[in-house]
Order: sequence, then structure tokens, then C-alpha cells
Amino acid sequence: MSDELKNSKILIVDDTPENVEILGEILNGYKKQVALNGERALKLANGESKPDLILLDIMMPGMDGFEVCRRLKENEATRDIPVIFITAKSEVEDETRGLQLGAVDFIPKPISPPVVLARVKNHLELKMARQRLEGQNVELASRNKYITDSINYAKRIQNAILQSEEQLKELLPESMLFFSPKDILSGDFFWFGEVEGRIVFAVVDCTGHGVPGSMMSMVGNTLLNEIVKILKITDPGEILNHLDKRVVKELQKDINTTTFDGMDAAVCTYLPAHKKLLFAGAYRQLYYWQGSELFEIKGSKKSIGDTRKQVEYSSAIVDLETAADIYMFTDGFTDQNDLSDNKFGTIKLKELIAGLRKNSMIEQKEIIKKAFNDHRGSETQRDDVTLLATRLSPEQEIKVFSYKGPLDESKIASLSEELIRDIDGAINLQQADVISKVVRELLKNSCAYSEETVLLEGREFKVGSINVWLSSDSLKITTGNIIDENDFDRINSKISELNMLNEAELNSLKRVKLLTTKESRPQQPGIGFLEILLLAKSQIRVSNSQLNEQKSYIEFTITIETGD
Amino acid sequence: MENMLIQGTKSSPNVEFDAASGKIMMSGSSYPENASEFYHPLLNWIDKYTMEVSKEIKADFGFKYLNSSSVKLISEMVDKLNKLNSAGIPVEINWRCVRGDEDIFDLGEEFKEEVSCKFNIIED
Repeated sequence: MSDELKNSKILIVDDTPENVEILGEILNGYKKQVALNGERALKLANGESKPDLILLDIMMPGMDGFEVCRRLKENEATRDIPVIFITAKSEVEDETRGLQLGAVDFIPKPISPPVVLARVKNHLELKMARQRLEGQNVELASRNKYITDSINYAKRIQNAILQSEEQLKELLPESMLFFSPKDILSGDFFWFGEVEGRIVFAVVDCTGHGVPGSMMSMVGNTLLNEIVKILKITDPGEILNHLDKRVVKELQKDINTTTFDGMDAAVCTYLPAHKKLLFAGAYRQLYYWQGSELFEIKGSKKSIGDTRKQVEYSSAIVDLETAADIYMFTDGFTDQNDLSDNKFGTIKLKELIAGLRKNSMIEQKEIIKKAFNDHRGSETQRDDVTLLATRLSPEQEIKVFSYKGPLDESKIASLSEELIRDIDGAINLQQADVISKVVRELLKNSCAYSEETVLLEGREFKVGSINVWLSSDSLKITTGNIIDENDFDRINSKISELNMLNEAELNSLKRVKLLTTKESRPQQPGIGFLEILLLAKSQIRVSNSQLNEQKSYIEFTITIETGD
Repeated sequence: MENMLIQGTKSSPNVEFDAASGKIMMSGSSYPENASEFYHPLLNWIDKYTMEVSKEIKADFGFKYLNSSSVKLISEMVDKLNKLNSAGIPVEINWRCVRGDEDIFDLGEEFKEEVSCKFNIIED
């Protein structure tokens, strides 16, 4: 007999001491408890050290065995103790009643010792097995919870690191993103950013999904930040070449690895000022609609990180003289199988896209999502899925710069330098000079009139804002601040007057102003605006929204031509 | 030498590698949770076959879907077979795909460009 069995405790319930004695002898080797009536039996079963099995006589004065069993099963604390009835009665009816009450077995009198021993042993072992299973279930549930909690937390980190569809729309207003990881964590990721008036956006599929995929995606995300934002590399082919070298360097330090981990990627760079789109792919293609045709640019047949192939990635150029809808996706989309194991496939995706020309990007997202889910049906998702689409048109304005906060002379200087650096690719030197001066004048004005202040390290600063949009042929600058109603009226009428003047008139007015402005007098409002009009060769638009009786929010907008 | 027979499942391909005839066949979908674990015994089988049998090999691949890790391992296998061909063990590969399945077809084209052994793309 195993130790576990030997340590089991059996409660014998019988009103006849002789019976108790006989059973006790048969069960030699087990620990035993005895109750001579039902009440005592319930008390012992509910006690500190519970029995592992109960042998229960049916016919007892007072509370009979059936009632004892019913009460044991009704109580959560004693419900799981197996009960075996031992009785002289052997009618089927009694057995049925006993089993319905939850007894596990019946042993008829007269007692056969080997039968009792065998049945007791079986039920004890069953009980122990059940307890082990329950223990393992609890253990599994708790481990599963631990792992899931941990993965969910990792998901929060991944979400925090990856950008959102809203952020994408800030860069490319007519865009949509269908992002559906297979598991909680994703091996797919998307990336976008703006550098010097060039907008880089990428869809990347790392080998694996779930936890291993997500770790790769974090590496990819970090490397793209470094390559594009820090090294300022914006040519998609060059981005992929750098990514490839870095992935190999970072991840394949173990030269004995035969298979490699890496990623497939599609990278685009949009040059709004030049009406061009550049594309390069590592095993990923680009689809785009232009005019009345769907075009495909295939990517290079080499994954990022694949050291067996020597391929230099290079960019293809798409002319955007007319608008185009751009689609990038990971193979999780086209590889999704339906119930009969047919893939979605590239042909069906192309057909789907072909029917979407008249739909907005918001509508396209819903249609594409529905098509994917309809195809998948009740099948499980095979892989992570990402599809990014954007509509690029030559007239489109892209927000390239934004700031709201404290202003002073040095902040204004650094903001204007930062802006010029950011849009460097879209403007020539002369334009840079004009833009820089215009921005300084506009912000100085905000600084002079702003009614909003903020305390920083004991110093009070005026608060103002600047936003800059770039399109293929112009740059739109808007500055804003809270202003006193009286100042607003004065400035607004001054600008209306100035807007009416031609260049010659502005120049002569400038000369008069310069002659009459004494050094001791504070600078007149208006000399800045006059300067702006002369530089930008376009009018200043003023808009305001009244905040209360004394104050308004004022915005100045000026558009400067760019390009050659 | 033993044959390699693996019954296909939803996510792993059917495998029939026959040592006596030198016919190796794979078909179905391949996206096992750990692709490397699935493919390494197959790659090792080919190594063993090379050492022990080293007769002509006829390969027949008919995949419906390969996930990216499987693509990498299949390309390793094709690579291995091609090297055998260059080393004097004749190899012929049939690459089957369903008509219209661009991905599997393109993959076949890509392999075909890279190898010097007989490589037939069969659309059916």
C-alpha cells in the first residue's frame, strides 16, 4: 500500500459496534474514525481533519444513512468526500436512491473483505487522482493568468511604442490602417515619420508572431527611428539597406545559426513638394491606383536580415502629378485561408481595391476589413495582418511643423531654425531665408501681444503657437495667440490697410516708417507686418474667435510659394 | 535507410520522403508554430540520404500556403538539393501551384532563377 493510501482516513458510520469492529479489521492499515450515529458522523466529517472516504450504514436509528449522505452533499465543505453505502438492503430502489444522493458505491452485507478492500482502495485512488487534477488545474489556471497578464502588459508597452492611426492621419490626412494581430502581441508593425518635408511610412512583417514576433518588431521600430529620424535617411531603398545591415549586426551575432530571423518590409517616402512617391520593398509589393489603372511595384526578393542573398535595395519612383491611392500590406492579409482552405490571394485583393476608387479612406477601411473577415469566416487568423492605405494628391496639404508654448527671442530663433531644417528638402535657399524671416516676425508679434503667459523657472513667458503645412507648390504658416480685443481691432484694421497696397506702395511706406521711427520709441505694430508682406509677396489672412468680452484668439495665416 | 513519412495537418505539410526511389514529396499548407523544428529533421534526412544512398532525387512540392519562416526553410531545402545536383547527384524539382496563386508561383520562379538543377513549375 502506498504511503499516500496509508495516510488516508476512513470514517466508518454504523450503529452496531460489532459491524464497526469487523470493518475496522478488514481495513487494517488505514487510519480510521468511527461514528455510531448520523449526527456524530456529520460532526466528524465537518471537523478539522476531514475523512478521505466515508463508509455509511443506511439503517440507523434517528438520522438514517440517506439523510446523512444528503446533508454531506449539500455542504460545500464535505461535498467531495466519497461516500460508500454499506447495507443489508440490496434492493435496486435503495441503490438508485443512494447513488442519486451522490454516493459513489454500494457494498452489500454480508461483507466480503476483499470486495470492501478493493472498492475502498479504488475510490481512495480516484479521489486522490481527482485532487491531483484539481491541484494541477488551479496551478495551470494561475500560470496561465500569470502569462496572460504578462503578455497583456507587454501589449500595453507595444501599443505605447507603436504609433496610432490618428497620428498617421496627422501626417497623411486621407489615410487608413487595418491592423489586426493574430495573438495579443504583434509581429507586424507600421512606422511613419516626417523628416525635412519628406514623409516616410512603412509596413513591416517580422518573422513569427506573438511574443517572438513582437520582440523583433520592437527592434525594427527602434532601428527605423534611428535610420530615419536620427540619420535622416529618407530614400526607401537606402532605409532598407541600412535596416538590413543593422538587423544582421544586431541579431545574427551567432554565426552558427542556419536560419535567420528577419523581416519583410514595404517603405514609401512621399515628397509633397516634388509630387513624387518613392518605394522600396523587401519581399513586399506596393499597389497603387492612378488614373484608371491599378499598378504594382514588386519589392526585391530578399528579406531584411537574409545573409544568403546579396541584393541592394533600390527605390522606384511614382509620379504624383495626378492623385493616387497607395496600398501597402503584410502577407497575413492575402494568406488568410477560408473554411475550404483557400487563401484570400493577391488577385482578390487587387479586385477589391479596384472597386474602391470612389470611396473615402474611412469607407475603404470598413469595406476591406469586412472582406477580410467574411473570407476568414470562423477560421482562425493565420498570421498578423496590416494594411495601410493613403490617398495622395498634389493639392494635398501636409502638416509638417507644430508648436505651442512659451516664446522668447531665443525660442523664436530656434523654432525658425528647426522649421527650416524640417522642410529643407522642399525649399531652396532663398525661400528658406524668406520663411525664416516671416516666421520670426509673426512669432515676435505673438510674443508682443499674447495675453496668455506661463511661468518657467521663475520667469514669465508669453505663449503662442505656430503650425506649418506643406503642399506641392506652397507653404502655409499660421501663428496664433490670445489677444486683447482693443489690440485685435487695431491690428486687424492695420493689416487690412496693408493688404491693399502693392509692392511699390509698401516699399515707400517702409521708407517713411524707417525715417519717422526714433530709436527711443518702441517699435510700432505694423512694421513687422509690412516686412512680412514685402517678403512673402502675398496677403496676410487674419481670423479670430472671441473668447470673452476682452479677449480673442487671433490667427495670422500666410502662404509662401515654394518649388522652382 | 528509413523513409520519412509525416501525415499533413492543417498547419503542417504532408511529407513523403522515399529512400528507395529517391522521391521526396511535400504538399499542403505550412505554418507550424515552430517551423524550424518541423523542417530540420527533413533537412537532416536529405543529408543522410546523400551520405548513404546518394542516388538521383526527384522532388515534388505542391504547397497551398507557406508562412514566411517556412519559405525560408524551403528555400534552404531547395538550396541543399541544388548543391547536390552540382555535386553530381541528379536532382529534378517539380514545383506545383494552383493557377492564379501568385505567391506560390512567384516563389517557384524565384527558385528557378537561383538553381541550376532541373526545376519545373507546374500550374494546375
